[in-house]
Amino acid sequence: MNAPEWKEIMTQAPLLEIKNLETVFFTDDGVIKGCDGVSLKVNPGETLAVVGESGSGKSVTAMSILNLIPDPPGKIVGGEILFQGRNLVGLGKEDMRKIRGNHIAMIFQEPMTSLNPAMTVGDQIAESVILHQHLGKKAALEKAEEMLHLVGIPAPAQRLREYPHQMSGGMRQRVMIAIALACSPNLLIADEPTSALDVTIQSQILKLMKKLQEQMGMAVLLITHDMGVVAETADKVAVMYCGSIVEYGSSHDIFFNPKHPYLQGLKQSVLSIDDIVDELPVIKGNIPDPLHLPQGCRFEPRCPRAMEICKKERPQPVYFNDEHHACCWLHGGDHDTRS
Amino acid sequence: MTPDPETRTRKPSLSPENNLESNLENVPADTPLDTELEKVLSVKDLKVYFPVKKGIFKKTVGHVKAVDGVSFDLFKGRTLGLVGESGCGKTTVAKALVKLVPAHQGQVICQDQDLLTAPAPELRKLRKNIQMIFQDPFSSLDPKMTVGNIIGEAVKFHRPGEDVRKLVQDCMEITGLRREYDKRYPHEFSGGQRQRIGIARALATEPAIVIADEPVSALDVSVQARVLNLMKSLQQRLNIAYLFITHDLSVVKHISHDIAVMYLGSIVEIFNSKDLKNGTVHPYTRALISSIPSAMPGQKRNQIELTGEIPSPMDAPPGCRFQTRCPYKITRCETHRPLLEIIKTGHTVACHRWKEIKFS
Repeated sequence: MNAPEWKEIMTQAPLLEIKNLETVFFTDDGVIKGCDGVSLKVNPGETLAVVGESGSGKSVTAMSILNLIPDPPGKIVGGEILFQGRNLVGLGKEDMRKIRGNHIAMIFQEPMTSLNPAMTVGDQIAESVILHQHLGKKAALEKAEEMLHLVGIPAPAQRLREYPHQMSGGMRQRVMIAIALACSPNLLIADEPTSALDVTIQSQILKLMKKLQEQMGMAVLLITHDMGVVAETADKVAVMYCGSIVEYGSSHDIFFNPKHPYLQGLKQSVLSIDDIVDELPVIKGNIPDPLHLPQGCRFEPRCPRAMEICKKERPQPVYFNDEHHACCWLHGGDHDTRS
Repeated sequence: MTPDPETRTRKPSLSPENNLESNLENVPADTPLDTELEKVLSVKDLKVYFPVKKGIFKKTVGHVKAVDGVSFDLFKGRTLGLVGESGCGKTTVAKALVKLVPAHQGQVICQDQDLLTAPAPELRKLRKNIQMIFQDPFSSLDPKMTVGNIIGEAVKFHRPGEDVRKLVQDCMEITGLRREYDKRYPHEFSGGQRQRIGIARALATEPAIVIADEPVSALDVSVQARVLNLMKSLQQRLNIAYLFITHDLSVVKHISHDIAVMYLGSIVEIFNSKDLKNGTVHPYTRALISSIPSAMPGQKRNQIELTGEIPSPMDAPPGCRFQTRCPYKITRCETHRPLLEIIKTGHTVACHRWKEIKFS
């Protein structure tokens, strides 16, 4: 994409806007709400990090965007996913296929299992190029070689003919990135892209993603549980707990001015090499059973500052500036009981 | 850093009520109080080579030197953290210690006996002393066994004639699981709880040494903090020696007394965990530390940029193993393999240039 065209999009509305998304899973034991009214925005060129513990609904949100929720048992029952102004919810299979891998690409968590072991990496990269850009096999393989070079794999011409098992974890994740970026997507969804990698490789991959993001001007929706990765890469941060976003703001606000007790607790339990503590502070209790969620605030049973109102009603977002908001009664207008 | 004499002389006791005291007869009740740390396991020049076979005659064409000359000691009540990237051989070290993989050469000395050459009946007795906690709490527990059977299996063998159920329940209680859950199956538990089951299983034979292979890597941060707190408090109570294997430096700093850094099959530096931030001298250790993401946005560390990846252990570079990625390489590094040199008590390094390199 060239520069003027890019600017035009910049001034337009957000690239991706999710409004009140509700994704549920129908199980034998009852209905589980994977996403329970998730709303978020990703502007062109920016990185939004979605953080939360396992089971908080981060991956379900990502899967919902690409309509990859297995149905049954899952189903998007409410809300809108607007990508470049077009609602992706309820889009037909053919239309969705044109978007997947072309306009929105995804990097999965496990580079070990998400590549096809029976195809060479060259063919895997070429596959989406052939499908979306209608190139011939030869041209597509040339493109694949170029992509492998771009993601920093040495001797790309030979590597093209190799199979995933011949590569290390870091290499495979580079191949995943090459596949994702081959069609120059506008939005890249990266689901825990570095969780399975070593720290030295992780910092290489994060740098590579940042560089390519700047080169190609794409937006990144980064899903992670690692606050360190968030601190290094994100412009905006959304914190998820039990299927909904409990706090959203710029990276600066989230790290220096956290408002929700969950975020405050989460930040404390992150280990740092800079300080020594005898016993780590922990958030008491566990994530509640998704079948029996608390009636009021989802975090109430574990919250050190819970009040009466928290048991009864779910808090609505309270804004601290244009973007930064948290869903917590501690900061709520009429119910402000801060001492 | 000497632990207070109190901790070292205290009798091991599994439960708060000491109701397992009768089971502890074979553990020396009064460990002699000496000024030295008590060594419980000594590993000397351990080598684990895997043959690479090719052709129809399965001719050995080379060796993967997964562990190539590793030596360290474990002390009672102390934790040695073993860190390194994947493929550096840290898990192989753990497996060789419990003979899950055969060692090529070296000695593993526990209670004056070499585990690697001990005859099978002797070895079986020694195994009671060394237990392992595995990385993945989802795949390391047999889904068809109840939690009680998982924890009790080794107890039945090593401590025959005892009330297994009660012992199992005691173990569950001290790891923070409810006693009545022993009839349940692993799938009924969350990741953090399963890792507690793994810990309870390891503790059930009252080992002197616990080898923990990435015990918290599969867990969420808030759960991770709780499991680490649990392991720390159990160590203080039961005086266990931990070999704590991880790739995460901030975890290792939190739990370990000493840290050993491995690279491509050998240990490059051993140091006290207090020195982690500023006292380390090996370029690889420094690079590992600097590649940890900062805790706050906008913080910049003096990054030592490592290029490339770990070379394959099948054709490890000659000389210093780290030379292919080291920014401070000189010609000597290409030919001579550096030996571990003592910098001060408890701090050794294998680098030709540790005296000259100044890290800003």
